[in-house]
Amino acid sequence: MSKIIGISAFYHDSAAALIVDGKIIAAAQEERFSRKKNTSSFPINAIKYCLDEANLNINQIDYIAFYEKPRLKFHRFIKNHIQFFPNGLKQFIAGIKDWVYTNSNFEKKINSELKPIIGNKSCKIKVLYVEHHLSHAASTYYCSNFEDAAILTIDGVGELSTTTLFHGSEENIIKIKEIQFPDSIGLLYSSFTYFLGFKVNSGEYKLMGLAPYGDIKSKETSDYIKLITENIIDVKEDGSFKLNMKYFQYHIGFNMIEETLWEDLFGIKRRDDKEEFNQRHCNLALAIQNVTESIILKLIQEVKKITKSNNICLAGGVALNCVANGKILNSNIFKNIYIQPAAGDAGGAIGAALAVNYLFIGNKNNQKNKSDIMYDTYLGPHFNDNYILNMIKNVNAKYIYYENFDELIDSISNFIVQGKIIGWFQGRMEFGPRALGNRSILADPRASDMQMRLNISIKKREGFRPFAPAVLNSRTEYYFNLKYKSPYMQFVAQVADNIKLKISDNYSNLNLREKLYTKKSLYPAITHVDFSARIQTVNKESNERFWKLLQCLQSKYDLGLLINTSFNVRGEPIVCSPEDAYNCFMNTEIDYLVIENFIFDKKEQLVVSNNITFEQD
Amino acid sequence: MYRIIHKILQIIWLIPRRNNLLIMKIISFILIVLIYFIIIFPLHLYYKLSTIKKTKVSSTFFINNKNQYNNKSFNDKFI
Repeated sequence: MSKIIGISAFYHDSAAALIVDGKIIAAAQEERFSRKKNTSSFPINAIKYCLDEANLNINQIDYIAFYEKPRLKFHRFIKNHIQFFPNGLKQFIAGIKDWVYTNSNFEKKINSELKPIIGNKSCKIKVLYVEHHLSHAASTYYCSNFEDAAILTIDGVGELSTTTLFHGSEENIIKIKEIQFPDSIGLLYSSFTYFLGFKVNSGEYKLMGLAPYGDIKSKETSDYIKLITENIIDVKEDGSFKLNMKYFQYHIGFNMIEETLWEDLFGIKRRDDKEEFNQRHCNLALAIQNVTESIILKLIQEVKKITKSNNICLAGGVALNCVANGKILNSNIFKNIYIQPAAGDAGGAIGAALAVNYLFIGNKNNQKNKSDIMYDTYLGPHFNDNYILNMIKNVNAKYIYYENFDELIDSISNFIVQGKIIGWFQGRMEFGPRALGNRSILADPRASDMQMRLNISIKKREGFRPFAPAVLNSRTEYYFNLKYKSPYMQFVAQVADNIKLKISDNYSNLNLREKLYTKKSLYPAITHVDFSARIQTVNKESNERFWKLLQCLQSKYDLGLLINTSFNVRGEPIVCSPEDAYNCFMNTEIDYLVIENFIFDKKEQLVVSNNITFEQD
Repeated sequence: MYRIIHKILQIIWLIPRRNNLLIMKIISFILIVLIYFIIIFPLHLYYKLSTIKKTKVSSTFFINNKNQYNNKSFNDKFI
């Protein structure tokens, strides 16, 4: 029985996963324990948790699988400087420490990071290194459980690759071809993220949320698309592409882009993060989203042409672009599509361990009877009633305990339709960027002010950001134009015509604020300005308690969907423990907190401290 | 080649760590700059010359890098 710990660390989104005999036992991101969002530090707490979950100690582990190859990264570092000499001298000097000293003996480095777990015992675990894009490919292919699939991985950069086409067949994965650094869709998208005033590596989804405010019919948007495709990126028919590096700095300096060249090209200044959005920003966001989607669709066609498979697996940070995912789904190029729910670097921890299990050790797949081995992403820690009671004692909280869960959801469903906001905490924490009903904030999507209330008072974030719906699987087609399941909130689809409201003819000419305040459907809080929604379909098998709550709302109030947003505030990671949940509840305007069968009413709590200032990201 | 460059840079980087005098830091810094010009520059020229030869327009930017993974694919080594 092989026991493998997969690790992703030292860039962003550190995580650890434990695979025993091909089965994912546990996986968690380090940020949830350290409470530092997107932390790059070694995932020591996540590893401790994984070992505790399986009741193992570190010397029972056979291999540690690291999600990339440090020496191959050094290769990229030098190759890049050879190519762009003499522009990168500063970066060359600054980079020596990381590339030459820190990463020179990685096995020693990892074993020394493990000291808090190993203690003084002499224990040295074999470290194996998995190519970064192979980690992504394995994370999606092996979890999909397809017997044969085309695999496409796209991200900012791994070691050398930025986009890779693979073919998976039974337990094997074969790399077919790739595009190498500095040509990268991920970094192109991040460059626009930076130009539009968001933070690179965490603000990309905000850019995606801003894009629908752009006007696709406007001349400005088509001009921007033309400027991008004629000046910044050269895309071939097979989806391969080359960036015009004179517009970029990330390969030679410490900035993403040559700001003055971008400002000259697009005729606008780089947006400051405090600056109000105008229509030009929205149109530019739409233009780059549009270009990205067209490249991805060409890549999808190319990988189909080569592999002739009916199935496609996607991973890498770009696979978190759910608008593009929705377009792939609608293109019908592939019969089946699987996207790793933790498609970013965190998921690399799972992928690295699975790659070692199947490709290094050569184990056979014994999980074939399952349709998805991610266990609906509920791979994180859970807390029993004793733990919760202890927390309650420590913070002196007032609560009601429900022996009967049906009575609890009956009360909560009443609160929801009264417009109350619920913090919902139960079971094992989700792995990956999405809260899927175990660490969620829930609210009624029918109230027209709910989007603003949640954004400003609860999440403390930009008012334009949309919210996602969690919908009963059986009611999906009533509310949305989506024929497939979307259990991981990975696809965007249009709301169905029967819930759409008539809007004015000049809607496309309205500005951002006017579009935001226009009531577009019967469920305005989950309907984005382009009538789209990022959907989570919920069924009984994946999350019975959450499904029961939705079912209760459906039978009592004919409401088969809810706002489901992650249980955190801006700049903070999603809550992990009951303490985190209670702190977040007490420092935001959440009305009720549900932790397993305990309900906490904000009005009943003794101390309400609104003095915490949340970090701005 | 990458292994050799790595070794040289490692030694240079380690100089001030073994002897923490300011002069050692300055020597290390100068050597790193020199390496950039003595090693990277000639390789850059070679790169430029080799890319001039490849002037034909290609219909793809893909690099064909077919690779079947096996148990030898999991070491951390330079290409």
